Amino acid sequence: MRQDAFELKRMLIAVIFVLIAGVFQNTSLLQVAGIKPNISLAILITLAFFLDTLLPYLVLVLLTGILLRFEPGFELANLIFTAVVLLFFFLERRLPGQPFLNNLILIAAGTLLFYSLLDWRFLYAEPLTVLGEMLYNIILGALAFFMIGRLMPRSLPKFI
Amino acid sequence: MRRNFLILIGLLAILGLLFLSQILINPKNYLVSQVGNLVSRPMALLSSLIEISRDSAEFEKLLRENEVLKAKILLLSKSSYRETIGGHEYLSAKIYSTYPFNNRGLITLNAGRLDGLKELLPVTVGETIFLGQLTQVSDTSSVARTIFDAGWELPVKAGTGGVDALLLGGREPRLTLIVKEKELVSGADVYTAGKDFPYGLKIGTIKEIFDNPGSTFREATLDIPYAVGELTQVSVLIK
Repeated sequence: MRQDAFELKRMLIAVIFVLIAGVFQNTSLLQVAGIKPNISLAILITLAFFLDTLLPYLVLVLLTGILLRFEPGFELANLIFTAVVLLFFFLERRLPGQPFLNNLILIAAGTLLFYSLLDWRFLYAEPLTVLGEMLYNIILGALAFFMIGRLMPRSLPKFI
Repeated sequence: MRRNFLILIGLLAILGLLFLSQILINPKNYLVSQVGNLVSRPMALLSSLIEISRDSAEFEKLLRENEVLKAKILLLSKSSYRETIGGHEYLSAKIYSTYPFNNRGLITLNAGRLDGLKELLPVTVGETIFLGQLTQVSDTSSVARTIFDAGWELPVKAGTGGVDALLLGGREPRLTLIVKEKELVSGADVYTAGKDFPYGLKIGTIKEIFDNPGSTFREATLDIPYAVGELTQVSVLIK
């Protein structure tokens, strides 16, 4: 019972992170020097390190997908975004080394992979934008890792 | 095996739900716009406080300006509205949301077909500065492609002599195909010259001009007179 409440609380915190990221992603509030971070990507990849099972992660991905929908009909960007974060959910479990560093590496790789699949010409048309966004995403991912680690501990505290 | 099957079902469910979720786009945009405003106000206030702490006289001035702006915001926030300036009719619309990623410069506006909008109408900042064009119009909202959309090319003219050039969209729009023999200086106005838009809408001014060795053309960077990330309202030129 206590474990269920603990898991529910963790999920609730994850949903709040995803909602906040979704709002920022749809506005220009975090835009710096014309570059908008992919905060939703950074948050979802970071959350992959704190969620053990696929189902809650799928819920978060779906919620992000709905928040990021920009126009009616089929949206390639949404599909690619979903594919990238789900791929990295499985990849995260196979990476050796420190989770914190793995998170940053996956966010950098995720940014590149996303644009490679979505619009590869954008990579060479605006390399500085891609690089800037990648750095921005890494910084946000590092902050998110720290915050989520504090707010979503993996196990129930022993003293309760 | 069963796990893979469940994953496949999960992925298909996500795809299906994402497709169905298009009915949520307008409410989502409205909500994002409201929450965005809610978040942006404290942020704006915080940055204002940092600025005004340097100079109390400036603080007083900013407070007065703030009151005026609040009154304007109240007036403008009522709804989109039409106005006629210089014989042209404009519809003022608020920006709901911006395209979530950097590779497209798209914005969603809170006005659509029911407000008299249709595809290809020009979108401006402050009625005179060209920003983009409507590409998708639904009953109550519309999507505009802006000059910050990577890959958009637009014929323009620059300077008093009307030097021809091609505007390349992107995070930092720039001019290409400027003939070397034609005189062009920094600070010269750049304006629309394509058949799809009213002639002479200002886009920005020339910032720097670059010579391309081995090419008969020059390139130039642009100064855009507004920060696109800070825009909350635009005008659509109806006729």
